[in-house]
Amino acid sequence: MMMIDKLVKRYKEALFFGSFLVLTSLGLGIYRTINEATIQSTVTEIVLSRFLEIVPLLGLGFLKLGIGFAIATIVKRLKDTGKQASESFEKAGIEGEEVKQPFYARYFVNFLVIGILIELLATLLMIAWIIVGIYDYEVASEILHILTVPLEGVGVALLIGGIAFGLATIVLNLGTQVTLLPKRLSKLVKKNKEVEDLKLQEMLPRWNIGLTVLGMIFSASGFFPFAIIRASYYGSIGSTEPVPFALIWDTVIFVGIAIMLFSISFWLLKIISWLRAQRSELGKTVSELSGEKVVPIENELKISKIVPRLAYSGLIWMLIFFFVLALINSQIPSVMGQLIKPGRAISLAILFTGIGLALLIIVINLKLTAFMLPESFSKIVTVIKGEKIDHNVNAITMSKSLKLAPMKLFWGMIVGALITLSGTLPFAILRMINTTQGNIQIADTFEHIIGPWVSTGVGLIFLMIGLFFSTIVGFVNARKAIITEGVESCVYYSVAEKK
Amino acid sequence: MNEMDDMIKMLAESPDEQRKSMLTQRLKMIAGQPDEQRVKSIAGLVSSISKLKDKKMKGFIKARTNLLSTFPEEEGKAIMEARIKASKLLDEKVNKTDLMATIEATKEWPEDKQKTFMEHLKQIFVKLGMPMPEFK
Repeated sequence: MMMIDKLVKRYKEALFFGSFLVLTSLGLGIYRTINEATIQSTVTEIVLSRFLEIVPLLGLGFLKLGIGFAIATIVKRLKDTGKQASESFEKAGIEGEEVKQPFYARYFVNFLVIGILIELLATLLMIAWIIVGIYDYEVASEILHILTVPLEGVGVALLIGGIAFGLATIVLNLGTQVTLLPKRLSKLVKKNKEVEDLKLQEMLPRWNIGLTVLGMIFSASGFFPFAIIRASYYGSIGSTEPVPFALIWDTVIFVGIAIMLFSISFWLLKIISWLRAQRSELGKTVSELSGEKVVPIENELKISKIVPRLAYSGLIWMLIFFFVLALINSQIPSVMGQLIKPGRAISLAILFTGIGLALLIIVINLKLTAFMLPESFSKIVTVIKGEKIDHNVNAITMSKSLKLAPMKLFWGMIVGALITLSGTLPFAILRMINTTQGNIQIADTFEHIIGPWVSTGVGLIFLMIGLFFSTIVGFVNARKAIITEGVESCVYYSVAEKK
Repeated sequence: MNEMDDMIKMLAESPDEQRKSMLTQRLKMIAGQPDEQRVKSIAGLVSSISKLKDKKMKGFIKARTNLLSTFPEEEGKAIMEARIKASKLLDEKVNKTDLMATIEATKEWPEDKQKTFMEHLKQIFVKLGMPMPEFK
């Protein structure tokens, strides 16, 4: 456990290592495309083609690990904040029941670690796949081909699932603190020691837990049962004929990813709603205790309404359009099948744009919360001390809260989304046109560059998400400092007043 | 890494008005803290400010010093006393740079206000039994 704690702190290293792998793959992809004519049917071509199927995914895996570890750091800070505040309240005789952490809150870091280990295992299989390819063992090569990428899908399921469960844990802990803090501060001032009733189901939308699990099952199913069935079929019959699942297994993995990203969008929206609730509830408590008028919090940002729309659009795109296209193409193969792989990236780009917007709003809300907390605690301490509140101090007003947004990170995500989209338009379209016109060489060139290019786009998005969470870690640290200091002061003066 | 580092960085990059309001609230909150905690909070604040780039750091210290001069006397003195006590918790260079920049900021004040500030500072050093450094 200690080792995992140490690893979690290294989220920035994981992010940069992941970016390095993705960029290396892009470089090798460009090299392969430029030297296509000279390396055809050589060992270099075998190594590069197999390397480029797995290593970009491994790079994306490390980026996801970095994001997950940053989330784990946030969870730890939130828990520390709650623990230290509870310890302070206990000094004043205010004790409360702590919420028991559910399974996903206890194990999401393990999911992340197991996820990256599975991705590393898939990389070992890739090395075996390269070796059997060089020595021309056809059956072993095909079976390893069938198993390697879907196994990577299991790793992806655990990594993205771990991220979603990490966010669910943030929702749970934040919700608990938002509900308990004003109540306990109020009790401290009013000398009321009733034990509060806290209901877990009120803290977080449980349907979203189910959705995360569903997404994980879909993504992992590319390996079990699909790849296992395909490998057994190939091993027993020794035929390259397509089996019923052969053409849709990877679409199923991506449907799972889309479900998990959809679920992540809603976890982020819930975090936004708790951050807003924190300001409004604390504001109400301060006004109730001090007798001041309630200062309403700023209006909800209009852009927050776009987030669920993007989440639904991204999921529907993946579910209907490409799932249907993949099914049709598995029965009647056509040139349209070339659109399936890169076209899935459109869904990812839409979902990630929504996630980027949600993260942007979270950072704005955290800044607004950081502005408000010292004022609230300062007023409560004044009330506890029995002094008059200084009305000459201007309350912080925030008419243009969008100005607080870290736009550089958001634009970075948009650039990533555009790169991802360009995998379809123009690359996949150009590949399709050249295939129908019989320009196979040009079509192959596009085919070889699409994978590393789209991975670079997604990699840039992941890096920006990781940096967003890194920014959030900073604000959660500041929030911890202000809340623990503030509660400690309130309790100190409350106890001193009693004496 | 200090828990307040990112917050101070964010404040340093915020528009003047927001920075002023937030810093006022934060200093008010610190002034209301128990003595021991106030010293720790001030040490944390000074340490975080010292990590800013030179120009931003000096601007921040100037804003802090000017704000403190608008505080009620009791609160202002409580913060100043905590600042001097925090010297023991801070790196020597950080402590000296912060104190020098504070004195530098007061040089833009009218002479009588400057004089009062220095007298208060001297009184605090005497009260704490600490030698007052030469601010040159």
